[in-house]
Amino acid sequence: MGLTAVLRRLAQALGDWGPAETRIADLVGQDRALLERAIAGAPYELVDVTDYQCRVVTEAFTVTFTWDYRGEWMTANICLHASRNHPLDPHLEFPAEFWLGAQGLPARPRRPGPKSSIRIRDELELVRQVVTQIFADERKVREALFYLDGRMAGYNDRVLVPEEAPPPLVTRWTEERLRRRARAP
Amino acid sequence: MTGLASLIEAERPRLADMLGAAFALVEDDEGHVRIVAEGLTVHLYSRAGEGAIHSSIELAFVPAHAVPFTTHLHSWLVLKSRGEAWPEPQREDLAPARLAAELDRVDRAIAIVRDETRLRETLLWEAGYMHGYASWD
Repeated sequence: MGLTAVLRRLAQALGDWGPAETRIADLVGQDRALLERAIAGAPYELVDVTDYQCRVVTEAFTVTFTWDYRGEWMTANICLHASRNHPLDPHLEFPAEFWLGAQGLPARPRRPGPKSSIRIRDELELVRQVVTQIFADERKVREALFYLDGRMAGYNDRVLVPEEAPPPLVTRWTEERLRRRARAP
Repeated sequence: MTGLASLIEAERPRLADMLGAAFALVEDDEGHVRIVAEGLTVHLYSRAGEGAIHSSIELAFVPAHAVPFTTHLHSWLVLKSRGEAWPEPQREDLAPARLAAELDRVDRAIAIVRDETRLRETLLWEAGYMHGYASWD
């Protein structure tokens, strides 16, 4: 075993990111019991995509873990595979927090440590909440996809170029509603 | 009675089909008329120079949910939540036709909000829309 590999193992054992060669797949797969709990025990494949991205693929969904290139933040995006008679394209993926927002569930606050195993545990916990509290219930899935579709539409309507924007009346209505909400006690 | 209220008054038979016989027309001002029915109020709006007649539906009751729901939905957002495109820009000079087209949209929107499952889905979509619109930056 070379020196780099030894250092990497040591860094992982200490729960901290070590040399820049640490791959995200190594950290995600470090605690298999935690990973399996996050995905409710579903059979899975851990796919090492790049240094900074890996996927956990199950039959029903795929979780994509991504670091930004500086390793300052991490996201766990979840894509639901199978069509469940929903008007949305079922292959869209959303951050775990967005799925939780669809049920009014707060995401747990994240702790510092961008590339550390602590962050991995935080992300896996978010995934676990989505899988056990939303994916296990067909109605909640359908409802979540409506919320997420609306969220994407609202975001797109805010940033689209004028010729693709919603009617001015809708924009005015939306902005007035948001102003009132901001003023509400 | 202003222009908008007169136009709506002429549509009483159609409104009765949509809302039942028991409803009241209330003119708040020359650009805003409410149609108060059981369980909901339809608001119709027409602003001078704007051309469009548009509408919203205010509900007396929305289902409980962990996501905070509004009780007041713009009709065009209700229809958008079910996959409809935005209405085309309306011509200024055809007020009765514009009202008729808007009442078509109101009719479809009411059918959605009166179905508990579709109402919940639309309310979630609207909540998501507001969240996405507000969080773009």
